[in-house]
Amino acid sequence: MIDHKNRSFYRRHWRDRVFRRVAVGCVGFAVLALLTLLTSIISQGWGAFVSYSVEIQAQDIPPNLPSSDRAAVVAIITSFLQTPVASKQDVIRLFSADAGSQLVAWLKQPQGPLRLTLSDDADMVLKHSYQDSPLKAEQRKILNDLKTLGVVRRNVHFTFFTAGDSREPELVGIYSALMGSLLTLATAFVMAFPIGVMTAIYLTEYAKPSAWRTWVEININNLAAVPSIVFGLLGLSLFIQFLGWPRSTPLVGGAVLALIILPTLVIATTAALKSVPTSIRMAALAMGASKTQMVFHHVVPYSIPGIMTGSILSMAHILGETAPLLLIGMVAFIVDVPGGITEAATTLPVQIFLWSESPERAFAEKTAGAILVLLVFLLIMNALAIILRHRHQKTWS
Amino acid sequence: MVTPSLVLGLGLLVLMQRLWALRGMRKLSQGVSPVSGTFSLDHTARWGQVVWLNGIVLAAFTVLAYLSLSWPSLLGSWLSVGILLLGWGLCWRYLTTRCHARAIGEGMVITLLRLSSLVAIFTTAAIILSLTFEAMAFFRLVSPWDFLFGTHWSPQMALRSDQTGSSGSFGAIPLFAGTLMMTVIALSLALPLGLFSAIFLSQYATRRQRFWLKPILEILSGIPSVVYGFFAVAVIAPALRDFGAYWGLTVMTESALVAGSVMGIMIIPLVSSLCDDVLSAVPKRLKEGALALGATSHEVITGVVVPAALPGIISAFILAFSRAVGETMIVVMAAGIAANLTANPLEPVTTVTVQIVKLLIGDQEFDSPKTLSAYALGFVLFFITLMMNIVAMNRIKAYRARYD
Repeated sequence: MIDHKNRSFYRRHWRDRVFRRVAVGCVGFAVLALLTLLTSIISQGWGAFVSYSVEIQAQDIPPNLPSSDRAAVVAIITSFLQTPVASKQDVIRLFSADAGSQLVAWLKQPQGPLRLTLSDDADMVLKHSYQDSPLKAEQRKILNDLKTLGVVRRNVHFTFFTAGDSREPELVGIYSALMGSLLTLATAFVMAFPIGVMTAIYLTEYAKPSAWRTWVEININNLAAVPSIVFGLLGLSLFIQFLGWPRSTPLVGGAVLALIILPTLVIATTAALKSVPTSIRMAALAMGASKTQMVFHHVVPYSIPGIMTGSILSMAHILGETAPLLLIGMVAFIVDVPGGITEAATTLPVQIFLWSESPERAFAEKTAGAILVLLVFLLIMNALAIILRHRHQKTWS
Repeated sequence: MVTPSLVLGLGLLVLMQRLWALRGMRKLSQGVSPVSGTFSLDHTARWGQVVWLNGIVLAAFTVLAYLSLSWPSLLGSWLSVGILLLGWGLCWRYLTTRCHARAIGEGMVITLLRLSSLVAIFTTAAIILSLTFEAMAFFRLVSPWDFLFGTHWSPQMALRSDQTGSSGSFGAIPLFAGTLMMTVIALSLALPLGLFSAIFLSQYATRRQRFWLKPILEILSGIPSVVYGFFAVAVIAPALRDFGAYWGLTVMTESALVAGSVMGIMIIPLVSSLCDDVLSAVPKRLKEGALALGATSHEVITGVVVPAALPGIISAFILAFSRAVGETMIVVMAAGIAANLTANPLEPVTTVTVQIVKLLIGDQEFDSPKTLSAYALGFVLFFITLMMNIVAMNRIKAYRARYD
């Protein structure tokens, strides 16, 4: 009898332990997924921030170069290697499409060594030593010779931060996409912030419980859960087709993103306003303040940290938004920095999407690099929000 | 031209009232007839105020006019003059001591706030209207029956309208089936993992563990879906392909399994944070009562806490479902494009959202069935998620009412 009872006792506690371990395992899976994601992206993306180039000292450059810049590059390399090269094409394809203009620029102002950027294929071979690279055996040999002569250098790849999009992986950069993101986010913020905050103030401070208020609240809660691609469809038909705003621009993108974050902003601001205790309101009213004075002189200032936290988080949310922007045409091939909100632009996540569609292996590296930059921005914004929340957190007693 | 002057004029009007109210209050404090609530002011002073204040308005208008170098049109200038006259009238009306500046100011603020709260309703209305309008245009070209129950989806690229076969076929069943399969895969991963994570966080975790685990889950939910899409294509797809090859299975690079499982990982934090909230809201007394009767923590959770929180958990699941249905970037990057009616999760399938993106990327013409079909798909997507959200919100509300 006692034995039987004991068995049941142990079985129950065994179940308890198993259940607990399953729960721990599920959290562990989530953590593991995050770690896998981050490590895989870092391991693929670090290469976007460094690049290999060939540096040749001034005394090693032969005096009479051919007039064509590409031929000149070949002449320099062959004379440096001092071994006959089978095909000139093999040499020139080792270098970036930019190498010719780099040479011309150096010849105009010969300071320091001549630096020629390597092509993406050569770059990838040096970084990862792939076996199935598109480089030919002769090209690999030339590359190895250059390496043993000690002229192949690894540099920080500043082009990645200063250039726009390009057809050549070694020449692409995130600058114009980043500026496009900035313009789009600024537009969205300017449009959404006042309306969102005013709506929240209306709902929490002014509106009496009524059918109207319930209706607005239902609308906002529902909009918060509408798939973002539906907002893209709305933007396409309302802003572009109906209102005739220019396609592919931060103006339309910002307007669509503003509609997307509006509900989030309203919900965050409402929470911030509700956290201000009633006694503050009562005190203000008792001192003879009007309702508007009470709200704008007392309640809103106290809830500013909460509102700021909410808006930073919603900005971080739309910084990564991609799908609606694809529909309104922000997928253009953008080389230059957009000059204003009515010029064609693209944003960082859209740029990531575009590069991820490119077949070259070097573009995968650039994609992961751009993702790293995006994640760093998101991390900064989230950290800012958390710091704000902690620093200005008021505990009302 | 007209809009800035309108804004300026109204702004100045509010300023005027403010100044006047202040002045009135000062007079009042100087002991002028506080009983009747009004006090006399001689006629000349009133006119003086009107002239002075309107002088500001007039000067502003002139400056504006010079800044824009020329009046834009006859209509514009007449409008401006009209606004000016209106301003005069309003000045005359309001510049009396009977005017309750505070009430008027409050009224204006309330009107402004109420107008801004209209934007949310306008957005919903605009979504419904635009989707309905374009979907109707589509259903004039293609019958709704063919759209909802047809099994062949190939919206052709109509390069020229006179081309043969430019109509395409729009049977959306393969898309619905693909979406459903993708959602089922994602949810079968996300729901148990999310629920158990929430159970751990709300029932077992120490304060310290919560402090570390909550932000990790928040980071996971803050990662943009385009990043998950890249993760699916660059990491999960090759890994699954190699794993499948080891067992003698051919897993396609763009398979439903890859996109669905990565989507599941993305939805875990959503489920866990929603479930965490509802599980934490279960009153402590229920839990402690069960513990006092000698139940193990497993029995407390499965027998008391989860059943008590069940409505909330179900609504969290419904929200996860609507999130999975509307998810776009992962499936655009990791699932297929070709409509493929299959039940094999190792083959590529396509979803409603993928087709919307593929149909609308690039240039569109708003009279071709190809473009309009995207709106019909969006219409279906919106109404499915709308229904889900309404059901979920009602359930959460009922749940809150039960324990608050």
